[in-house]
Amino acid sequence: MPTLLKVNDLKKYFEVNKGLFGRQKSVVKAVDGINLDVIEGETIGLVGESGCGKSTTGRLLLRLIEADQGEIIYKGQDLRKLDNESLRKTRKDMQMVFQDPYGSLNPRLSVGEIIREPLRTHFNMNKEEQQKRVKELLDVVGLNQRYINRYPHEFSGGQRQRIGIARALALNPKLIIADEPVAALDVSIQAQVLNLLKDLQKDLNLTYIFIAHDLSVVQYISDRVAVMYLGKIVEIANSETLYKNPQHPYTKALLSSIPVPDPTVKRERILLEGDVPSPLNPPSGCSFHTRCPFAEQRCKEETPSLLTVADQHKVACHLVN
Amino acid sequence: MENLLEVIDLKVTFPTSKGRIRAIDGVNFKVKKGEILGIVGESGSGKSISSLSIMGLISDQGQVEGKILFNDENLLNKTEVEMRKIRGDKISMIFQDPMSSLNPVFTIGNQISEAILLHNKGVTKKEAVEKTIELLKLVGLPSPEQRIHDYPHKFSGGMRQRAMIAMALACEPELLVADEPTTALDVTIQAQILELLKEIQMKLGMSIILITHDLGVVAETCHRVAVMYAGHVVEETDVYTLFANPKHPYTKGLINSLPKLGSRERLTPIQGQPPQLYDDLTGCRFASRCPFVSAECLENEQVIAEVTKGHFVRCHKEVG
Amino acid sequence: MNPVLKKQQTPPVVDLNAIDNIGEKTEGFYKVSFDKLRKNKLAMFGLYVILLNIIMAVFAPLIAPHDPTEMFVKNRLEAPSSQFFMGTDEFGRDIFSRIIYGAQISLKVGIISVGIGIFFGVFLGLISGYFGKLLDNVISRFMDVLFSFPDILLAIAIMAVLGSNITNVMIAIGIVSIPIFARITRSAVLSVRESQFIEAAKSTGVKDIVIIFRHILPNISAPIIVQSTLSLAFAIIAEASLSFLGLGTQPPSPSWGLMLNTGRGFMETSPWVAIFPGLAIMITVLSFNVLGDGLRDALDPRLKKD
Repeated sequence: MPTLLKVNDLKKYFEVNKGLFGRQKSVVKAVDGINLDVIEGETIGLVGESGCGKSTTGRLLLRLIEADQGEIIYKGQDLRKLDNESLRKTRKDMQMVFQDPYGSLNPRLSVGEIIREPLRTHFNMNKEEQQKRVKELLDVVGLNQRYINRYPHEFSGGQRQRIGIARALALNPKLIIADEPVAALDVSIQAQVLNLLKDLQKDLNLTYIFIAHDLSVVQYISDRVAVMYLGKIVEIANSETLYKNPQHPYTKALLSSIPVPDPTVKRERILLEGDVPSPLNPPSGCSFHTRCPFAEQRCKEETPSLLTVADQHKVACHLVN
Repeated sequence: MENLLEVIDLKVTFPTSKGRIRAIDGVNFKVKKGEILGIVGESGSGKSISSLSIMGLISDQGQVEGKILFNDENLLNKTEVEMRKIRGDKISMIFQDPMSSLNPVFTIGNQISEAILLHNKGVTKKEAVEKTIELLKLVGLPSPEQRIHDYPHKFSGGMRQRAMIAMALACEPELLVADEPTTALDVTIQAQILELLKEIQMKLGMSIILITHDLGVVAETCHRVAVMYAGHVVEETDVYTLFANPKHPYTKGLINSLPKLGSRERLTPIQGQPPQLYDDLTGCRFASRCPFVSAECLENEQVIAEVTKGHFVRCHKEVG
Repeated sequence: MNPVLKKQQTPPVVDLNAIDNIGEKTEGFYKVSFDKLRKNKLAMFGLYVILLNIIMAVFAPLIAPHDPTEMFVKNRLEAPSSQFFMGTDEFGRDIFSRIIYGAQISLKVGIISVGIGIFFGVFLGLISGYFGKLLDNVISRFMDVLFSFPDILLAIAIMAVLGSNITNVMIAIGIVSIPIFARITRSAVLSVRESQFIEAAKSTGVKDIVIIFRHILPNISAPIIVQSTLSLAFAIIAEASLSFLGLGTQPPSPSWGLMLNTGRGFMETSPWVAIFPGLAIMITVLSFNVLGDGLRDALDPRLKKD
């Protein structure tokens, strides 16, 4: 399968003013050197705890936030070098589904207007063609066409998320970046939306970058999973491999922390000490060494790089490589 | 085992511009001494309203009926002054967002020792501070002697929740109501807090009501579970039976909706959306989403009944 | 490029469950807000007084018993009577008729000057809030400078430069109203700008100008509407003050402020000359203020859920 999107050494540092008059500047390394190949037709999951940079990564790829360094290669060109007009055109191919089903739809526009907007922006279609297309999209995401003139507040969370998905599909994108698309939904509704995303992928040959904090959700929907910690990918592998044979201590701890809905399962739980360190002062060396139960002297000094340990399986850990 | 708390036919309604909403409509459950009861349900199921009713924190607009027996005394008959005393001494509560319950202008130590002084007459300031440090040690806060001088904003989310738990334990309550205590936390921190709750429950022998939307949290933490849907308890049983032999179609649907680690098998979601809880509801509230629905379900409302020992279900099909 | 989805052979991939389960049709934002406003008695009183004012202004020739400039030389400074409801002034003009015609001036000055304030203020607020950075800094500092003058002093200074006539009154009050609209708009833009739906619009490639006017402006209408009513009250007071000082509307036009000024001299002998225009100003301004307060509550999205 060909590579759809190639990300090389992507970095984003935020400056934060501190001190009484904002004189002290500190740097948050939100995304600190991400390398990623997204293969056409696959779902790649980005998973990690809050502050690990997964959402920022998603926004950097679409240039909703400008990166400081690195390349985002799509169709042979670096998206970061595109001027505004060509960027606008390329965005047709890459769309986003957002987390907040309430905040991501303009409350003053009807559902029809919301889904029509991308069409008006990019295509030369008349009113009837647009209307036809909007109805078609409502069908595809499982919403009744009758509701085309209703406003977002009349819909439930799951239905709103379907509207957001319809908007993203309007331009026939190749790649959809889904940022926590089911985090705000109840379990029963979450399963509906996950199934919808899976079906759409099959029918429309979509590629997904699926960003979430919930490893069981990511694992369910993704072909490959990248685990992030403090702005870096620490492990990337096939979904099954990651579950059956996790290598990085952080992945192991994350997996063992997920509560399993089966009281008969008694697991050896790896309880991590303390909290995620502030990205303002990330630890030296391996950023996980402050919480890692196996940390050695070397982990404090040298930053491990992401190395291949088996086919399609890369880990950034001194103890593994 | 003795019942510490018994909720009998609890009903809570709220007026809205479109008519009364029956947020809770005839809810029964018990909490035994020394057990962790999980109340699980999705948003709007009434799980939080149940806990607020127990605490006597429903706003004046809401109408509360039924009985809440705590040590055989009906809490609904208490005055506001009596309730305030009970809330401090016998029942404590921790919330989803610890920051909203901590006062940002006082130090953590200050707030906890304040709670101790308020509810224990005759305790000196010094003793209260010592007790505070002891409590913070109990909840696993590193170097509590220094941290008592910190303000809440210096604490991370997990540490704030620990501090909240310490404050809730300040007057050694018999019942701790925890409303989604780990929902705002990352999984690795959630694991820490859940371990902590289990640990202090064992140590202090109190009862806990754990309110959550996460079946995984229930399975790992609770002894017994009440599943709520649209203002009803639809199933109540011990945690092993619930997962091994769920009876109510909603419980089954909920378990099937969950992605399971290590499996990528297609999920079977529950169809449709939960109903709106206006006055004119008839029949079973799950009927519109239930795959086994029959005419009877649409007409008559089934009451909750014991189908096997200790296993209560609210469904025509199971009760017969 | 064909924008239509790949044709699907099988029926669309839908869990049919999502269909047909939408809440009932609910009312729009403005309808709900107006229903809430209707419950506020004080605000409704304000609204009625303002409507009365508008009717007075529009139908002045039909309502007024006399011409506002006609002098009944024999009836100078006459106390209220059946012929002259509110008495006459020092030239024998009917005060009641002058007050009715005065509503025209007050409302005209109010609406046009607030219109100027909204047009420029909202525009400046939108671009400074949306684009930020240097542009924001320049605009905001300039507004701060305008803000640092007391409103009425600034209006007087502008009048002194432009010269006193009614057009210049409107321009002066309009300029004075710009900073408050700019500031309110800017802060509303800042809170809406971070919404996910703005990000969503950007990610589909929508142009900035469309985002500003289609996505942001409709979502910040509430504070602008509230401020408009309060600014209208200010404009009416300011016009009256300028006229009172002799800088605004010139005699013989029946401006309430001007009438108040001339009446001042006869306070001891013929108090009605000053009292009635004073009351007219007070009631009108009060009405706009209570309406503004009521609107603020009714349009507040935080109180929206019941």
